[in-house]
Amino acid sequence: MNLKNISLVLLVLLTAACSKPKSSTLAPEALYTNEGFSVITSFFNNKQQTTTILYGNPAAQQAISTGSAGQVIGEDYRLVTWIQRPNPLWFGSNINGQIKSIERVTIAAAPEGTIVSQYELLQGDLVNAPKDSLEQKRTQYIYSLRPLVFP
Amino acid sequence: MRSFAKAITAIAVIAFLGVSLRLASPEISNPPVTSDFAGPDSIAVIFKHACYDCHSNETQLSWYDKVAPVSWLVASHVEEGRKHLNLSKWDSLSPSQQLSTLWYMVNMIDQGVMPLKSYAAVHPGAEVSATELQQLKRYVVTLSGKQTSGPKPQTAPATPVKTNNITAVHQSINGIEYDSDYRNWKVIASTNRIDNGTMRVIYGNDIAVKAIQENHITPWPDGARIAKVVWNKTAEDENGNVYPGAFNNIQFMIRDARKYKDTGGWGYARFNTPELIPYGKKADFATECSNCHKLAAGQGFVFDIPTHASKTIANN
Repeated sequence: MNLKNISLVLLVLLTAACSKPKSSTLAPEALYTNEGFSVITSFFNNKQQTTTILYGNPAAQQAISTGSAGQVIGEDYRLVTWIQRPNPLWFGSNINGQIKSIERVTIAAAPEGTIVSQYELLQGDLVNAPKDSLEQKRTQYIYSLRPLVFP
Repeated sequence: MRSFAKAITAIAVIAFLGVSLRLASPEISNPPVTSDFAGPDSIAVIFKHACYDCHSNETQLSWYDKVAPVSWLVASHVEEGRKHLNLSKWDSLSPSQQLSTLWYMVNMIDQGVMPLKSYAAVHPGAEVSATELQQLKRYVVTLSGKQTSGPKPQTAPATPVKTNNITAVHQSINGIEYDSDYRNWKVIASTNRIDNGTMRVIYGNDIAVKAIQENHITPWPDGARIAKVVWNKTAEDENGNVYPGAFNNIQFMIRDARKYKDTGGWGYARFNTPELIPYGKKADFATECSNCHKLAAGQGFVFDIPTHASKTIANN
């Protein structure tokens, strides 16, 4: 190794010693995992600074993709909403932070061969609204969401 | 008399070394400027003092830049710098490349990667102040805001999921194949970008998810796979909601420390449009991906993982 190469290596090492990559504490609790459920769609809200994913079991995916959500016994939806924040590693990108709420809608059998949808707020708080109205609105909202187009 | 002789000898040796090192220094020329960066003067002036010495054909050297061994480092920085980005050939980039380059530049500065610490240490005038960085951020946000904000969201009832019958093998030039199994992986994160009008869902296979849960990501274990699915955004509705539009592309990161050692242990691939056209015409396209992902070195070169906002720590 000649003088030039030795000098370059020393200078580069000196530079490297001064640079430390940025890192943050991971938040694995922000991951939502639920076996058998897949992503139906995803969206975010600029006013509330939230990001949301609608998951569904196979029956829910089939129903929502054919425009018939809420009509088949066994449909099971989870609407998971996270707080959104700027990605500390890339200015211009927002990423989900902690989970804010988890909502569930299921379709079950009712007497006389009918079906009934059940809404549950599994985690977190939603807007302050009359309970019945809120549940109905949220259920209809979930049914109205369009599935993502996957390749 | 003896000490006088020693002093003369020392001066002669220093002079000889000085002349030798000076003569051994490489020449750094300034080729003609073909198309200078076109932007507001307030932005150009920042680039000129912070970037131009290494990223343009208007390199201005100080006297100490011309003395070896510093001159060797400077010459290699200028050569490398111009190769990555030459602001004197701005029009050689398409408008979309110019926009993404500007965002990249802002992020390199924001993360403290540029100007290089070693360079700024001896060229204090190259430092970008906090005020200037804010100026740059406002500039790129404004530029992206001028782009179309996407089609209006569709309010019609759900339509059937369009799923292509992927029968042909879609393979990147580096051998990485499109892997439809990602739909069965877990979601790691969801992101949206103001710089390029897209939104994403990021999936990880079991190995990747376990690595996050156990905080074993520096380095990530071999076998970890990450898929980033990208859609265009639609226009914001009256409630502030932004829904996904057309599928844009899907990107994969495949962890194999040995196989992909030249790109930080990750193999990169991207497939554009619903036709899944592989991105990259030459095998070294992944170097471009890898260079950008160096900004996420503290997270094992993966940008999109949920982290705690208030517990930022330095990683050694």
